[in-house]
Amino acid sequence: MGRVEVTTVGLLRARLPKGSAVEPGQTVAQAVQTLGLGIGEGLVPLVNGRLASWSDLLKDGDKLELVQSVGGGA
Amino acid sequence: MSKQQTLGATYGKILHVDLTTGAIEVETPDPEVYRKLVGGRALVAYLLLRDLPAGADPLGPENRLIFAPGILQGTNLPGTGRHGIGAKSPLAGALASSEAGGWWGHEFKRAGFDALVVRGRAEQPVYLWIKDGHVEIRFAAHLWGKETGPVEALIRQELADDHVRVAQIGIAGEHQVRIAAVMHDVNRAAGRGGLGAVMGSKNLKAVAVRGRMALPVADRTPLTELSKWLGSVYEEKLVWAVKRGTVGGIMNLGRIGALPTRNFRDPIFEAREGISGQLMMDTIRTGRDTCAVCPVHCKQVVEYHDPGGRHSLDPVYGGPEYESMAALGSYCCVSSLHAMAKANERCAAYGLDTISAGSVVAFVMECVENGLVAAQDTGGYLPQWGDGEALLHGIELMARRSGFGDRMAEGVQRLSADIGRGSEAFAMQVKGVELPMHEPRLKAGMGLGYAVAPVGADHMMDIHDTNYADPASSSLARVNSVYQVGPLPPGDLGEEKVNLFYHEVNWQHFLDCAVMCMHYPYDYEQMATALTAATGVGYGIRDVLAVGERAQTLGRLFNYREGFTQADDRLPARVMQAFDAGPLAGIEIKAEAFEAARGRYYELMGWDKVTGRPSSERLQALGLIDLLAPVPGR
Repeated sequence: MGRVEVTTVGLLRARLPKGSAVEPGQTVAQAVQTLGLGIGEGLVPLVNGRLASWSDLLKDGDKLELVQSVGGGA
Repeated sequence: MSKQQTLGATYGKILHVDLTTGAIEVETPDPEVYRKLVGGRALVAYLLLRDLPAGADPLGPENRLIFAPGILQGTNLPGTGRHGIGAKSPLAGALASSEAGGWWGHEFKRAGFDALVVRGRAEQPVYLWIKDGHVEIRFAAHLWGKETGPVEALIRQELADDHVRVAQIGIAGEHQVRIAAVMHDVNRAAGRGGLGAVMGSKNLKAVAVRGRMALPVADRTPLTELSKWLGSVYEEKLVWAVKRGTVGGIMNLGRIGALPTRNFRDPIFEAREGISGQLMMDTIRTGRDTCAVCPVHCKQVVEYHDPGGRHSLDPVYGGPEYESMAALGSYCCVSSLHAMAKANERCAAYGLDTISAGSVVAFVMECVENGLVAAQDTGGYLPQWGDGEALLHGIELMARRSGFGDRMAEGVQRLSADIGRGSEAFAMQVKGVELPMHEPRLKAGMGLGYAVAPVGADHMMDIHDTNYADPASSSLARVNSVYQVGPLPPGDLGEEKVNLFYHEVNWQHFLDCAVMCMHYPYDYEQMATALTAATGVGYGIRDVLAVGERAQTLGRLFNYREGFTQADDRLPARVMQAFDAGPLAGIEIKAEAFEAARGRYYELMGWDKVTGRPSSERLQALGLIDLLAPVPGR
């Protein structure tokens, strides 16, 4: 059993308990679904500090960070 | 429908004011004009093509300044507290089309007109007073030279009505600063494209409106149902806007390495906490404001009493939103919340576009860093990165065209041509319009949008690629109602991305014709329902998207007439080159991929691949041939 630490910033902090983690071997998209964090818009995943793809497979020890990148106007 | 019948939610009245002669006329357009164009940008481009001679001086009396709400203004549908303004831009001479929130558009529409077209030049400063179908040209010499806050108060006092809504220029517009904005309610800017300079060139200080007329709507029930639906979902769907507005963008985009920093040169702004939305909320934010018929209240209000006096903030000028925080903050490496917020306040007081003002100062900072300007060139103005006081000083110089500010007031494109010496390489503009605060290296489609938008670099008639990468994205679900496409990476510029881009850019243009807040969660179907209910004419999903395509096509046609070609649809090389550090390290936009995407988009739009001219077949398919028949030189 490995572990992928998950963190977030801003308003999403309220929806993700501190110390959250998911199991490795799943994609970023699956992890977000597992966490119930689907916000329906503009979530950007970073893995180990770099921009990641939703289809990237998470490995043991990876650090997944989820950031809300709101698009919009002013 | 019969040509005599007026479309629901319109009066069939476009108001024309000639400030040279004082003539006031009302045009009764063919109802097909509003049925096909809806309002906003499409109407602006159409009227410019029809009425403005090719090659006209943007700051000459011939230019038209067009205030263009859309069909939905005045219907009380939530999200319609916006309106558009347009003209030929004094930056590079392309289309200028910008929108503002607030209360002016709603009030104007209730005053009995669908749009206002101002031409000519008054001999001395004037303002327009429009109330319930009556129009008056009034002297404004006593308002000239004053800041926007006092001017609104004076106009309300003079008209003895505290509910009068005022669109106005500040001293920047008076001095025809090419990055001047038209301000509304003092703190809502139609900022992009130099519309304030056009208004100043006409000696038009303000347009004051008051309207209590009943707008005839074909069927109120579906609009009420949509409002109820919105009321039940907005807190969930717009949680970020309800809680914070756009200000969370600083820390969020900063974490992704996509917060424009040091004139788009650096991947990370380490000092971003100094200008964060949270810090603003914890210290200087004192309230929230909103637009007409909007429950969200995403507009910031700030107030601060600086013991030293320099950074005191008057709440009448509102607070900075994301674009302004980035342009006047990270883009210039300014990490002082008070200096950034003060710069935002001064831009509102003087009527300057915050994006362009921050961009000009950042450009000068980079020129200074590279030794391209010296004290003798600039009257001693040598701003350094991160110097908030220099930013504030630059705003003072620009707004008054004082000293070196006279050259800065020309905008980045002209200033870089003036300075030369390789500075063009970091002049971050497209068609003379400075880049907004969204990073193409994160959002490649956004970059394509900067290049092909008829108004130059603009983020409003564009896509945010990160909204289509999330498999659960509601934006993706919206597109899938007309085009099946799966989630796509934000850096992708392949054929599927461009197909998606085509539909969503048409949608964004539609929103600026309707004129609807882009943050609202309505989809294509709901907007078709709203238009049908408002007008009494049946609109389907495809009709909604066709309105947007007409706006983009008419904008392109206008630019083609003014001499713009595919070669002007470019992206500054800097934002195509990979960062060597940060979360986006190594991500570039390859020139071949960009050119292929642009070519694909031209195909989808029916534009000639070299000249960019829309094909006759496409004009026919969009129903524009008949509409454009009276247009000379089409």
